[in-house]
Amino acid sequence: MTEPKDQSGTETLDRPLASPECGDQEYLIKRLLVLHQLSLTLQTQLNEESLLRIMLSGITAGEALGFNRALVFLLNEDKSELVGKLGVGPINAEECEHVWRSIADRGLTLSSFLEKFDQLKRYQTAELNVQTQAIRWKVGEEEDVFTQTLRDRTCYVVNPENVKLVPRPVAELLDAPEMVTAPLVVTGNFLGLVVADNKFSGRPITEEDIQLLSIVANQTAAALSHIRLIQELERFHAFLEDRIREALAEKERAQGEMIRHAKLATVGEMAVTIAHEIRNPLTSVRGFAQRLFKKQGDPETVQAYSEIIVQEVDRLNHVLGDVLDFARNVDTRFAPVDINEIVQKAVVLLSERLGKSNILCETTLDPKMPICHYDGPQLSQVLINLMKNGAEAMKEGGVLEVRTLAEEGACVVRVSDTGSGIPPGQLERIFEPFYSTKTKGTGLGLAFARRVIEEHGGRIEVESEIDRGTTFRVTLPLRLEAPKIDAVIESMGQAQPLVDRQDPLLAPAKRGRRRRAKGVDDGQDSGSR
Amino acid sequence: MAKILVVDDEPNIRRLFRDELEEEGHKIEQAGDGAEALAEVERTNCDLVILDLRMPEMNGLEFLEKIRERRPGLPVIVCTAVRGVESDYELWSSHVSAILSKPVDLELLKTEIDKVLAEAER
Repeated sequence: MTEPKDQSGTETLDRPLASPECGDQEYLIKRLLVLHQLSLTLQTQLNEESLLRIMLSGITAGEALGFNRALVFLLNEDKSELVGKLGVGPINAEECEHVWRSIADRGLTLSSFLEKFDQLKRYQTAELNVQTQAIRWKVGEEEDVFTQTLRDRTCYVVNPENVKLVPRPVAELLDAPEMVTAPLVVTGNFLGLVVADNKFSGRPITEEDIQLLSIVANQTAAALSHIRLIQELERFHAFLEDRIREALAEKERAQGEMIRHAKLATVGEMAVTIAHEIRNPLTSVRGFAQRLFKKQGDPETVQAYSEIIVQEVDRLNHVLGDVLDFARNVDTRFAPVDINEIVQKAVVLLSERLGKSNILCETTLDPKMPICHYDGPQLSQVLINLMKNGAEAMKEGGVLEVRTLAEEGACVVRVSDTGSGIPPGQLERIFEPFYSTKTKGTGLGLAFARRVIEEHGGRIEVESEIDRGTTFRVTLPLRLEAPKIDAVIESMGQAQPLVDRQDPLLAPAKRGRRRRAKGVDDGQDSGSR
Repeated sequence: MAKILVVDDEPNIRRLFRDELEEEGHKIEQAGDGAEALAEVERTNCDLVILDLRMPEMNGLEFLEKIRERRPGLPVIVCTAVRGVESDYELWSSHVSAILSKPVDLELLKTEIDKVLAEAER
């Protein structure tokens, strides 16, 4: 029959903590210090394997508990089996002598031994460890000492009389006349157990040894439970992170889908308008070429038809230019710009053309215009489009007025003409891509303007009166600092970019964009009225 | 020979059809959008309409809807740059006589006109 021992580390010891071999006071203090150090080391472990290793090292170190060998078994997940986790100590007397001599030769104390233990990797491949890890023992099936330790949560000493109570694989591995078990218990939960023996020294296992083993086992169990809690928290944290990542990915996917749908709609509209804009001139070219053949003897008609063909081919080329222009400017880049300077440059660029058309350009610049983060080259193109639009509405000449205004929280640019005006029914459609009220043009000039302004988070408005003129008003929000990426993405979403950044169409466009950034592109006629 | 109304917002296309069809002996009237075309149909009492679909003001489909109330049997040949956008079903249900795709072959246009006029006479 095994003898249950009280394993509570918190109860006072029922006899003085003195080594039978050494009653020396100094030795006792030294040993207590070592145990204290071991206890601290156990409490600070964050890794299960190193915790178990340090525990067994402490149990087997001569300075500490001084057992010859120690094995640790942990309960598996469904608590049905004890699984061998680690075994420390020599497999036989020769190895025992070798290990302890080498430790003594190196002058290792417990603390340095614990530190160096990592480097002494041989424990991993040591015969005892390898064989320990091969052991799995079903608990609760027999009245063995492992099951008793687990059930009673207490230490058991095995002596030659009851050695048959030791699980067979453990008995075969240790083959010792005496051994002791200690449960790893924390707040009533059984996590595993430790087995230790003194086979090679033959030193009897004392009451004090059992008490100390129990204390070390309790501390190890507390630390193990602590490590497992942390691991659980980490797993939960990782789980939450995964869920968040999945949710974000889903949101991104949904957004991408939305943008793709919007883009398809725009692309569909674009395809229809481009088809219209190309097939109409082609109808003329084809038809007049067909007729030209029949009219060879009629030089006047031949000339008229040839002129129409040239004119329509130019128009086709122009359509293509507009489309490329529109596709090109998708990459909005914000940098500090002076709106007044942009206006001045645009006026200089268009002055010759305006002069020829008998148009007077009046510029009023607000000196209080702040420097803001806008896309300068794109705003230049917007302004040029608006001014050309105005000029085209004044076939008989007139006044084109460009004015900048620093309003509260906004930069405003107004472009007014004294031209023919836009009929009320067409006003709401002029910003639609490919909508044009002119006989020429693809209707992309104002669509481009609106897109750029919306990408800036601003708005473009129009007022018009037939035969009195038209005023475009561009309102840009103040951007005194570089825009945050979220704001840019948001404004892009609203503007529904025609071509996204991965689009193959964009490759040549990007080159064009860079070229444009160097100076204001005077562009071709890209107005939309 | 017939009185034909050419409806298209492209002046060059109107001229092309006029020049070609006048040589065939037809009398050609022109309109630049659906609203103008309605007025011309009233005014000229034409025999046939050649109709573009995408036009400002009143587009071809709106014109078709209105003309079916006023002249249900008037033959219409649709000439469109974007076949399939306005569904053919919609067009045929407006009793169009033919649908031609731009760029139109002038010989094909004349063949269709002859066919439609011959059918109308029966």
